Order: sequence, then C-alpha cells, then structure tokens
Amino acid sequence: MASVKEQLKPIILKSLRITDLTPEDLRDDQPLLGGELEIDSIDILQLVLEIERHFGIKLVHANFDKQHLESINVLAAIIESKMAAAGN
Amino acid sequence: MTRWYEHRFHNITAQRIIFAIIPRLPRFLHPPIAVITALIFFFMLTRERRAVTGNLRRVSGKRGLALQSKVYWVFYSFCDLMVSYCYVPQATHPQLLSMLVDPERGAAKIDRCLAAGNGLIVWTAHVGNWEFASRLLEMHDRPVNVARVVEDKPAEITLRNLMASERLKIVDLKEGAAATIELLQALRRNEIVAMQGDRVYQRHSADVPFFSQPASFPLGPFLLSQVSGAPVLPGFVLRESWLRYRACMGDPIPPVPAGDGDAGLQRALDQAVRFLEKTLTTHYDQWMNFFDFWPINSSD
Repeated sequence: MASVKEQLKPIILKSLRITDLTPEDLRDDQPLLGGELEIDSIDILQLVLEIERHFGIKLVHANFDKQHLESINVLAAIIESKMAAAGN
Repeated sequence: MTRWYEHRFHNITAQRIIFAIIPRLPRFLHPPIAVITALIFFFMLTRERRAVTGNLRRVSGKRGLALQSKVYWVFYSFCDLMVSYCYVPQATHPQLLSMLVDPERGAAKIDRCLAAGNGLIVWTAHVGNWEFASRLLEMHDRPVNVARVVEDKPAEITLRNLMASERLKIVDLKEGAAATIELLQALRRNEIVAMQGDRVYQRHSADVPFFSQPASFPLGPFLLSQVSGAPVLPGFVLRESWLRYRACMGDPIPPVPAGDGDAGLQRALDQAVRFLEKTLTTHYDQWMNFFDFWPINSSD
C-alpha cells in the first residue's frame, strides 16, 4: 500500500493540471503555496476536492489553515491524522 | 490585472463629500441632487459612458436617444448606490425591511437551502444594490461572508470597512488560497457566502452565451459549490425608486457532481447567467459595469 505522501503527489499534479512533471519530481518539502507550484484560489478547491474524494475525509474544517499547505510533508501528515480520526 | 477600471471620482474625497452632506439634507432633496449629479457624470465620464452605451446597446437593442436615456439611468443608479452607503450599513433590520417595496425577499427559499446544512452561495452581480442584498442576508441568523476583491485604495477600504460588521464579514479574494479556505470553512459551518459573478478576477472562467454573444464569467462559485455541497442561489436587489428596493431570487442550482468536470460547472454557470440575462432584460439600466463587457466582439 503506497504511503499517503506517494498517493498525494499524483493527486497534486492532476488537480493542478501539471503535465510536465512526474510525482518523482515533487520533493517532500515542496512548498504548496508561494513556491514553484503556485497554488491559487481555484487550484486549492480542485486539490481539496480530489484529496477529500480520494482519501474519504473532510480535509477543510475549522482547524485547517494555510500553514497546513506549507509543504507536501505537512499536508500528508494532516491527511493521515484526519484518516486516523475517521477510522479509515 | 483587471480589464475594468475605476472612474476618477471613485476616491476618498468624493466619498467624504457624500457622507458629510447627504445625511444632513432632507430626503426629498436627494433625487433631484442625484438627477443633476448623474447628468454631470454622464457628460464628464466619456470613456465609461461609451462602454455602458455599448453594453446597453447589445442588451436592449435600443439606439439613439432612447439608448442614451437608459445609459444616463445607469449613472443615476450609481448615485443611488453611493448614497445608500449613508443609510444601509447602519440600518436596523426593520429599517432595511421598510426600504423594500415588497416584503417577499426570498427568505423561505434561502432557509430551505440552508436546511441541508451545507451553507449557501448567493450568486449576485453588479446590478441594483448588492450591498443592500448582503444586509438582507444577515437576517438568516448566521454570518454572511462577502467575497470580493478589495483594491488597495482608500476609497475601496472605506467601503469595505463601512459594510463589515459582526454578522457581515468581507473576505478579500486577493488573499488567494487563504481566502478560498476561509470561504469553504464558512460553508461547512452552514454560513452564507455572497459572491458577485459578473466580473472575472481569476483565470478559471468560461465563456457562455450572454445576450447572443459569448461572455466570460467566473467558474469559482460553482467549483466552491461542488467542493462544499452548498447550492448556488442567484439573486439581486433591484432599485424600484430612490432608496427603495425589491429582492429578486432565481431557483437554487444544486452542486455539480464531482465527476461532471468542467462541462458540469459550465452548465451550472449557464443557469445562473440565464437568470442574470432575464433580470437585465427589464432592468439593464441598473447594471453597473463601466467597462466593455464583450471586448472581443465590441466592433460588431
């Protein structure tokens, strides 16, 4: 079973419609906001939609903020904790 | 970079003059003052007048003096909107209701949408008085999050601060992803989000037929609806006479299923745009977009 991080990277590329990179090109500490990926206000919706659908969780709730998009590492950790809380 | 621009009187000095003088004058003097002010702006703001003339020609099919008189009424509607900032932000709910010519304001429709628990996105436009509309939404006992682009200009910041209150929160779309997260969280708390759908601020837009020509509208509200599960309710507050209004609501547009992609979003957008089109057929002199709405086809 692939780790959350490994599952997350293709989701990021799909949501952002990035075709010139592969999941291996994404670093674990890759910033999601303000870095090369430059996620904007619409991209974030597409990313949330794909993550919630794929992992069966509600990612964005009261305690979610933009710090959770600091890097792939941080986002993966949040997803793991939400999955654990949901019993997935 | 936006393709519209603000006229040179949209500044803090003009606002201070309005806020200092208008509330001190008897109300019966407001309409004649607006008639004269609108006339001055109609002649001075030539670039804006030309753009509005082009837009209204397409919407109404009118020509000549009949068209110019309607263009003038757009400037008059803008005077009403600016003066309403003296009264609408601080009005109590009974005072707001007394400014409605018809007590039917779509409240039951809004409550039915909120009953599902996924929040509600109210899709409005630069028609009539959108600030009045946001205050009406406050009456549903939950916060209203008004998503807008607040330009970094004193005049814009003043208007934002005037409208912000305990119940009415302005979410500045310039904050990018952080603003989106805030809106999504609000919907998940079953709150109301109000968005103006007739100006494209983001690259994610779609061209849909609008008065027989394709025009760009943002897809963002419908994507937010898809992620949150909130329905989109198109609605406007139209001016009936000086500082007197009527609420006008369309039918709720359910969230687009996640598998439907951009085509589904575009169908939902098209439904909202049809309602805007229907409203503008009779109230085009309240559509306050002072830029060429169909820039590609402006020559035909």
